[in-house]
Amino acid sequence: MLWQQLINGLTQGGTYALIAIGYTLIFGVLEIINLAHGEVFMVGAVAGYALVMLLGWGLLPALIGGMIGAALLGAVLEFTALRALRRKGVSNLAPLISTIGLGMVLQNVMIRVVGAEPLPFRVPLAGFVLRLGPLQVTATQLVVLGVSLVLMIALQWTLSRTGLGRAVRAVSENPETAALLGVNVSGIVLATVMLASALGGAAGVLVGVSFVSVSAVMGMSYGLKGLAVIILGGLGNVSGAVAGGLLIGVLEALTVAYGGAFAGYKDAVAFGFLFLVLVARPQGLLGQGAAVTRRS
Amino acid sequence: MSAPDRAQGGSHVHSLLRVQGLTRRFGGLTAVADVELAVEAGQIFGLIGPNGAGKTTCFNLITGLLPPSAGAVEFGGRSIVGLAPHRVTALGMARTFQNIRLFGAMTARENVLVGAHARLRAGVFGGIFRTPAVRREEAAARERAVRLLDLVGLGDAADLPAAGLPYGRQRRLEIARALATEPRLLCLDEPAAGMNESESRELMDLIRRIREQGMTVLLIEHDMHVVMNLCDRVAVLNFGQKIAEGSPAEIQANPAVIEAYLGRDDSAAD
Amino acid sequence: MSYYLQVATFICVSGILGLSVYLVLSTGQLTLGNAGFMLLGGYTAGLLAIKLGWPLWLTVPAGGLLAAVVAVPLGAACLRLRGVYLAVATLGFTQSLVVIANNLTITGGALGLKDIPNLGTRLQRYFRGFLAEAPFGLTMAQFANLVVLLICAALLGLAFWLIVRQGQSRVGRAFTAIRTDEVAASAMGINTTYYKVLAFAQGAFLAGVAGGLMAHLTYFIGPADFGFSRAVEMLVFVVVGGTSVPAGPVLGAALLRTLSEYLREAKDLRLIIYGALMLLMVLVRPQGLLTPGMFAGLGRWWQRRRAPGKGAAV
Repeated sequence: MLWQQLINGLTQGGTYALIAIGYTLIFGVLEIINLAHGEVFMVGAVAGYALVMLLGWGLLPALIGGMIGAALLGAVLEFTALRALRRKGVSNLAPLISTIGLGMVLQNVMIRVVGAEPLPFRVPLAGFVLRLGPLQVTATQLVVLGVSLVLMIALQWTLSRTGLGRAVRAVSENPETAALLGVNVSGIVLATVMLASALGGAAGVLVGVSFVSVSAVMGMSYGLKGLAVIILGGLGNVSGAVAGGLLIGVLEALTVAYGGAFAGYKDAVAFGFLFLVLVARPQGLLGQGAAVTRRS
Repeated sequence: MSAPDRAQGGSHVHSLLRVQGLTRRFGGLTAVADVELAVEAGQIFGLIGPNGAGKTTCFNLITGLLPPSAGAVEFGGRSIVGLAPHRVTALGMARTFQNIRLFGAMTARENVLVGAHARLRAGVFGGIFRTPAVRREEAAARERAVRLLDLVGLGDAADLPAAGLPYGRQRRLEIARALATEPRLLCLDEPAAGMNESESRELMDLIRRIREQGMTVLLIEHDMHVVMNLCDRVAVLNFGQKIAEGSPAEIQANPAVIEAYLGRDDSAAD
Repeated sequence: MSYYLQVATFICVSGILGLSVYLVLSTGQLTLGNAGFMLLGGYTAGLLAIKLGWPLWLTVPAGGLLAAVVAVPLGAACLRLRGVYLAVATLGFTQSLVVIANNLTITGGALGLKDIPNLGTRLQRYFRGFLAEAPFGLTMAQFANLVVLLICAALLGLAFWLIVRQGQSRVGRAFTAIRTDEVAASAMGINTTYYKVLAFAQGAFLAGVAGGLMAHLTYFIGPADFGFSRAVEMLVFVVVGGTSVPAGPVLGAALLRTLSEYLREAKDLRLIIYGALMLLMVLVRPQGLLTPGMFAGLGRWWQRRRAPGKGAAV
């Protein structure tokens, strides 16, 4: 049974990791937390839902569609809530507030459009179960885990091997120097925000697939989980986000399976754990940049 | 308080500030390496050196804003390494900042009153209900703030927001704010930076007056004219190490110092 | 009539919530933890009244005190965290409390606390003891609601007065100094740890009191009343009204509460407007509607009026 729980946990954790990577990429280049990210995730999920259920697309095209939709939303985010606040003398709390605001707008506009109730999201995968001895792996789990892995590897490859990746890393190292070296900083920031949002959107579609439903209010809880994950993993640290996501996913699955009376505390796991880590090790589990020395 | 100390100037046992083996590393870089300093009560002590020599880091280590990697700092005969900055201030050490750090939205007077913080007692209850003792304390502090503002020549600016003052006046307000902490040792980080000649002459007068009131002054300065005219003793840092120390005349003649500044016109720099 | 009294009462409670966030922000700390402290205060007050039968004038301050007591170690633990980290850690605190309230038996789980003694009802019963008829031609229920409003308004006024007076004192200067430049503040002899924890605990106390009031105003509280949305709502009051004068959060609470009453039927529309306002305020007027400059001008005018001869000299 332990192995079964680990598989369930890793599947869930993979989506957390995808969401968390989105936060961490944006933090890497801008040193801000995008609190609208959970809603970008939700919009990606609903877009995927609409493409499959209303237009009859297959899962893969819908996934890509959801990512593109989320990426476009990322561009909107950059132009409305972020770019104008990147001038001197603006409090570093300002982007927190502006992104919370945009997030509220997105969520409630979506509630107006599709309602607050969950929408059934069925893809023609359900029912297929792979049995390995006592273990059961559903096709959905395989797809979710597989796609998460592929996206993470693709991201790693992009960051380490491509010109775009090099530019992103240069900007997150030091924007001024990058600009002097001829990097188009605004362009790279825009690209990063869109990329981060696309990953969030992909996570949305995957979560929709694995829970067989999407809703306009799903962004809140996942957004908060992702937030806990990145702080655990260390802000701006992609591998930390992956490790943190998987860890939280597994811990939650174990809490539900073995927690007995505490199973109901599943949703407190991430934040409880986060809280302890922050107090004991403010730079996160894997982070090197310390929460305490960042300019405030 | 420090007038009697001054008579003992020269005796190393009673140095007001004594720094030994002071070292600070950032990652692989050693910003300050094994620096020794002894500032005697009543001195005006200059700390000079080319840009990036580690002067400001030295200040931060002495005033407790940065923990040293190694070394000892004794102030008034007591070790202050590891003390929080506000405790160091309460012991009688005050500082200004190279990149002026005033409380911009507060008035000049309020800035000085913040400096007096550690010398006042009013707590939450007293502050809210304005007990007679608190009223007296506050009135006295305001009066003293005005005197300090007059001393630095800002008497007319008491009610203006600090951020709106011209650059030279902001520097002097920082000095008034530091004086409000009632220090024995006043540490000034490039007080003359950005000042024109007449302004820096006024500044030198001000620093001399401060010393006459019994305070000891430790200053970082780029302007050689100021250093040579003002300081009793000068130490030179280069690449984090102390390369020379002596009277201004000795420093001017020191080949190592000339070497460190070679090809540079530092009186014009910054 | 009773409806308007109730709306005004909730504006007062919201004002207290806004002030609780303002206090913490006045030392430069952005907290999302006050929704959690509000939950603590609300449940404490409700449970003390239901289970132990404490009188309401004791349950409300008890809730505030418990919140403040919890805030001291929490504030100290979070102290090293700045900006973003502090906001997220305190949000974690709030969310964890919501989950706990959702699961404990004593808090009634997801269903929440029911049948909390109601302030208005209690007052009504009390007045009937010695009044045959309510004064001013009101019904007894209306009169009780009016007294409830006056109590909440008085508490808001008291909190406001305390904050203004504290702000003008040595403590207030320390707060402003820390908010402006923590390093410079500590170099000027200010014990930044002490004052940041102090502000955090004071804010928690106000949030706890507001939670207790809420519990006794509504018969019912549940975990869903105190999550992320509540944390954000309090923040909106401050962001819209003004982040650096105490009148700001009160104005913000009044404006946004009134607005949400107009949009009562459409909760989502209300939240869209809240969200858009936050975004807009940060972009166009980051200090909020009210700024210290306005009050400085007012203060000068007042001084001139009081001492017409001296006005010119200043």
